[in-house]
Amino acid sequence: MKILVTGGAGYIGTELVSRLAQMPEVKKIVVYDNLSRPNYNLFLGGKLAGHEKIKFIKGELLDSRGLRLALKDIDVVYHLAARVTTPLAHTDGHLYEQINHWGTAELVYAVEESTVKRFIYTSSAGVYGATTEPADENTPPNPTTFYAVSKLRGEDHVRRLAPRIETFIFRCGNVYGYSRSMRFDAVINRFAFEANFLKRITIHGTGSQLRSFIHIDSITRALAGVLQAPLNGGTYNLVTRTISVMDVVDELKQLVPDLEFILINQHMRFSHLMVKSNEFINKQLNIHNSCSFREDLQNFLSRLSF
Amino acid sequence: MPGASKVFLFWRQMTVEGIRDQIYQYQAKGLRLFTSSSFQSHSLVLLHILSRIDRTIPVYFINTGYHFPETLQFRDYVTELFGLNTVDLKPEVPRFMQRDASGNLLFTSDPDHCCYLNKTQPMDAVLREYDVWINGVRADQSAVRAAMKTEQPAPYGTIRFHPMLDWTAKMIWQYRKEYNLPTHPLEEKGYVSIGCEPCTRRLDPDMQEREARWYGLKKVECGLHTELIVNESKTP
Repeated sequence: MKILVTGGAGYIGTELVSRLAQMPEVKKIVVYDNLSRPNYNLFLGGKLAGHEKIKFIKGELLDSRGLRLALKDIDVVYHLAARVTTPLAHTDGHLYEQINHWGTAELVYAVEESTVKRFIYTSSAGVYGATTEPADENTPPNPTTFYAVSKLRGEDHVRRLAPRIETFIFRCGNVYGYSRSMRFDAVINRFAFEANFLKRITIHGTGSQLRSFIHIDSITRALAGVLQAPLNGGTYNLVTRTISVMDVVDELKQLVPDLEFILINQHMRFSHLMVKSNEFINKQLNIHNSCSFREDLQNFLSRLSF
Repeated sequence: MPGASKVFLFWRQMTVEGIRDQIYQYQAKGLRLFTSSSFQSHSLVLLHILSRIDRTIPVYFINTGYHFPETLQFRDYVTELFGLNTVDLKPEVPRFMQRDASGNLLFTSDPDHCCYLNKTQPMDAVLREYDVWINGVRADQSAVRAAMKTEQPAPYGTIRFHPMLDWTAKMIWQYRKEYNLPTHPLEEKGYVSIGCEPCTRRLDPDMQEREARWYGLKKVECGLHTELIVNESKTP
């Protein structure tokens, strides 16, 4: 099986590529990434297990010709590449559109001309927008940020593939936890960094906003598991926890006793974004909360260098 | 019907038989024919007529890369329904080379250039391969189209054949009704003229049909009908 991973050098991609490289049925992995976040950790740290299978192409989603060439003989595509900023993805709407919407459309066009048999797209739980109760896959999307709008429009293009190619759209929760290629803008990761090194966390809004999350190990296991699980293509939520921002702080306070926090704009009451776990999918893909959230955080802090 | 004949309903409007005869004449001369279509609801009349005459005639769909997913799905559906020989025509210039000085895609600052790279330039290359371009423009769609003739020269010695030129919106509607032709799925959501998504606008009740495309700009044509045509003075 030959696989192409867009965004393969990113936060999720680095861990996914490392996992895929160890699977015997995987013969080749093409990492297709423009390194827009200057994060080179996929390429460092000694040889990965299965490293001889991995090839890197520095390319971008809008390179129509480059995509067609990269997809030659590929069987499976993981489409992780995206422009992502948190919090407050409310500026420069065109750039989100350019990458997440039109870039995805461009990839879909190239896939249509290829031998690809399975397409896996990491969309976002953000497509549901503000929620008053946990959204399941039948809840009409109502995205409120440029990022989430562009991810939903990307879904529409990906879904065109479904009649011909096995197509999976995963609406992923906010990802947290240690990856070799870190993102410290995602809320839990940023809190862990600030708690450990600064002993003071900055919080947007009141902190009471609920968010749905998934650990990096879980999402990586789930995405790799799609290659083997007896699953039909479709649109699925991929989340394992829904907690408030202040819950994260409370847990961190148990681990970092002298921790303080600052509410920098507590006049803003953010909406909840709650997404219902799809227990069937989580079971099929063997993802579950194997330890408590506090243990997750403890494990994360243990990976920090001091 | 005054002026009605086998070829023209009135002195200009071509009948299906007239279109068929003209196509057979072209083919008898050994000319290579193709058509192009945007696969909007009103475009389906010509496609349906052609499918009754000769389904092997290539139907070029100019896939700019900016279409609504619904349009692409509708294209596939109609292709199968009518048994068409549809060809996906894509731009030569990769998308990442279609950005302006600010790094934004061209439709944000220079839609003419965007249309040129994604529509006119690819179609220009197609014209070199054929002798007759069967084109579904109608005179009642714009002033530019009203000035056209049923047969008109195009670059590289190609003939533009405009069989629908003097069909009216009512005739199109009647034909669609008679043959129960499908409707583009976005029409029921309020879209009346559907092209590339960035330059297509769903009409508000107080807007004119022309404002459905390139809203806010003086631009009314993409270039296919202004650049890929050899203009002559119109015969009275």
